[in-house]
Formats: sequence, structure tokens, C-alpha cells
Amino acid sequence: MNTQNVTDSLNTPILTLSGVSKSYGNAKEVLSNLNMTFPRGKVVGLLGPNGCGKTTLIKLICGLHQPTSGTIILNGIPVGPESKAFISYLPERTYLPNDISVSGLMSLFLDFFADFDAVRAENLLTAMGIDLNARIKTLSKGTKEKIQLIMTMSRRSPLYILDEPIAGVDPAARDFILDTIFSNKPPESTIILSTHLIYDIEPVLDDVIFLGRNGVILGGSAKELREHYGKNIDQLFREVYRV
Amino acid sequence: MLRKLIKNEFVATAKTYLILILVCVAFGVFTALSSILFGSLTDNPALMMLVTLPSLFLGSMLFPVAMAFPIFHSAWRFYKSMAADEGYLMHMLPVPTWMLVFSKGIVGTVWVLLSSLFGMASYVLSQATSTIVLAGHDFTVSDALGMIEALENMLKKGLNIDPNIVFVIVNVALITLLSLILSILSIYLCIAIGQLWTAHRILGSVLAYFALNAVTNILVSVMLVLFVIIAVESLTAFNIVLSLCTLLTAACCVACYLVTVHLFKNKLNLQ
Repeated sequence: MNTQNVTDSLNTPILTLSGVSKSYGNAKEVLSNLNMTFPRGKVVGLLGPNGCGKTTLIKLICGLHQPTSGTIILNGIPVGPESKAFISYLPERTYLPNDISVSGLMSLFLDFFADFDAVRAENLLTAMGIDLNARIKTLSKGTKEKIQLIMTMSRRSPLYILDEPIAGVDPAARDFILDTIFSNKPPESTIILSTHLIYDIEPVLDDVIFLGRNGVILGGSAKELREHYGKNIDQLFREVYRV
Repeated sequence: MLRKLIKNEFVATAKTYLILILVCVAFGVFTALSSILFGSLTDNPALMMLVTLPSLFLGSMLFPVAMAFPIFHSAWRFYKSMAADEGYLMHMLPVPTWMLVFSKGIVGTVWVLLSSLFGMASYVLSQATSTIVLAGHDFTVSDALGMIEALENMLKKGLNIDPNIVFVIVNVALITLLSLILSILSIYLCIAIGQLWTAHRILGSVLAYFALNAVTNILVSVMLVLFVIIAVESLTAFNIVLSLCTLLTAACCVACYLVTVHLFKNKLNLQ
């Protein structure tokens, strides 16, 4: 790839959604005709109350669900098996296989993800006092969540998708999570961070998307929204989603 | 990528199955040696029965366990890694869904085959030595050599037999292998159907399994009737029907595999 191509690829959005809808069976549409563009190098807050379709949208971007209609282009290619190489995804659930060790998990990441930085992962795990030879099944839920976060952030991906990374954790763990995320994010990478706990992450958000049952309610630069409405994002969230 | 998937699946499952195979080998060797040793120490038939019968009983249990355990274990692993929380890792690997299902199916089949073979070998070894000792013989080196010679003669004879018989043997071996693969793939299919449920997914899989089994049983019954009507005519007719059965089993394997891949690719429903 020559210099011009590199510049071009950095100028193109990391993610584009065109007319994306999703419905389950005959039920009502969860997402309807979404059109969005995610630039590179940003931290985007995907905000909304429970059940508004945040996780569905994330699963569509990750290729875990198929849209009912519309197209999703990630890093220049349609979402599919190949696009998964460009997404480092942290789901809400603990996904670690119990029958391998921590080092076995690292080997698995090394095998399948060309962008996995094993040295970084090892340093982070060691700093957390996690034994690399420990079997996953012997570890506590909290340690498993930390390992999962470390593995996710040890990839040098153009796109990180973090689904409710700070939900249900204590303040100390919250600090660890946010510190791990933002101290390991490559500058040119984009983070899509789904949460309904705005206050803790508001300072790091570049852009926000307020997602509602009928699609995007409000979206744009966090700074501009604050200036335009004279409120912080947390206050704006409460106002937008007031019952 | 397929090679890496198969490698990782083997690594993750090796410990469990190697222990199972080791248990089979240890059991076979232990029962054979203990029968031989005890047979040389006493001539009392009642006492010999007391020692050999439990091992005969355990041996007859070990073979089905060695065959059934890997099928259930493979099914459980498939559920956990494809339809439960581990699915978030598995389905985010940059590989197509067919590779995921294929790698798990191939590794599951290899382990079922290996543990069945070792289970059977262990069973045969313990049964043969116990039977010889119970018959009142001292098991000697010439007995072992005699068994090897008998096996050699069987193989030599096998090379000169009627091609139609060879065809039957090959077909039966093939249909056994395909049935084994089908037993694994049909469970995978039921798991793929069960994961479509929002809750009680294991129950959904079990119900799908019963439903699928009912359909399979009807098909097998029809096939058996046809078999009896047509196959008794001649060996050639028998072979044609047997080949059709093999093809049908292969087709069922392919259908189970394709529907499983389709469901996980287009209807994945991770919680």
C-alpha cells in the first residue's frame, strides 16, 4: 500500500451503515432505517436506555446478526467473516472458555488475530497479578472480566466495540476499566462504547449517538451538543429519555 | 484458518479424551493380566469366576461408555462454544461459520472413533483372556501366538473372497462411520434449532432431538421394509440397497451440516 492509499484509507470512515433495519420474526422492528457514519480515531458513545437496540446494533456491526435490510461497510468491506478481523469486541457476557489456561487464551488470540499484541497483553496481565498458567475455570468472575478487557484492548484494531463495559462494577473496577481502555487505544482507532451510565464516560466522548426505538434521536459531536443545548451529555440524556 | 481451528479444538479436548483412552487401555491390560495371574495361581473355578466376572461386567460397560461419552461431550462443547456465552468468542473469530461447525464435527468424530476403538480393544482383550482363563487354560505365549495366527489367516482369506462380500464389508464399514458422523451432526443441528429459543434453549435442543429422532426412525423403518423386500432377492440386490442406505446416510449428514451452518450463520441468537 503506498502513501496515497494509506491517506485515503485513513480518510474513509471506519464504519458506514446505510438503511439498516432489523426485526425479529414478525415482531416490530428493533432498528429502523439507520444511516450512520463513524469516522476514524473517535470515541463514540452509543447511548440509550435498556432495550432501545444498542446491543442489536452492535451485533449487526459485529456480524453476529444479519440485518433485515440495508448494508454495513466496515473498513471498506461488507460485514462478514473477513470484517471480524478489524473489530475488537467486548460483549456484556463473559465469553472465556473454561477448559484452557490464560496463556492458552493468548495463543488462541495470536492464532486468529493478526493484530493481537501478545507482549502488551502479557504485561497487562502480569501487572494485574494474573497467573498466565492459571486455568480460566479457576478464576473469579471479576478476574475473567479483567482478562477479557485486556485481551480486547491488546489488539491493535481499527475499531473497538465495548458493550456496557462499566455496567454493574464498583468504582475501583470502573477506574481500571476506563484506564485500560483509554491508555491502550491507538490514536487512529475508533471506539464505540455502549452504555447508559453517561456520567463516568462523558469526559472521554468525542461523539454521541442517542438511540431510541425508532432510530437515532440525537447525534453529533459531544462538544457541539453541550454548547448547543447548554447542558452536559448526562443532563441531555435524562431529558431525551424522560418518561 | 481451518487447520488452526482444528488444532485449537484438539488442544482443548485432548486432556479429557486422553484420560478416557488411558482408562480403557489400563482397564484392558489390568483385567487381562489379573486374569492370567489369577488363573496361574488357582484351579478353583468358583474363585476364578469371582475374580473374572466383575471385570467381564465392567469391560462390557466400558465399551459403550467409551463410545457414548465423546458424543455427549462433543455435543456439550458444541452447545457451550456455539450457542452459549463462549459463542461471543467463537463467532467473532474471522472465519466463516462452515469452518466452525466443520472443525468441531471433525474433531468430535475423531475422538468418538478413537475412544470407541480403544474401548472395543480393551473389551475384547479383557473378554478373551477372562474366557480363556475361565475355560481352565493357563494363558501362555503360544495362546497369544495362536490368536495372532488366526487373525492373520482371517486377513489372508479376506483377500481371496468374493468381491460382492468385500463390497458388503466396505459398505457396512462406511455406513457405520457415516452413522457415527450423523449422530454427532444431528445433535449439532438440534443445538442450532434449540438456540433459536429465547429461553430454555437446552430443552429446545432436546425436543428438537426427539422430533428429529422420530423422523429418522420412520425413515429407517421404511428403509428396513424395503431392505427385506428387495435385498433378499440376490447378493447384488442386497448390495444395491445397502449402497442406497449408505448414500442416504451421507445425504442426511450433508443436510444436517448445511442446515446447522445456515442457522448459525443467519439466525444466530446469542443471549
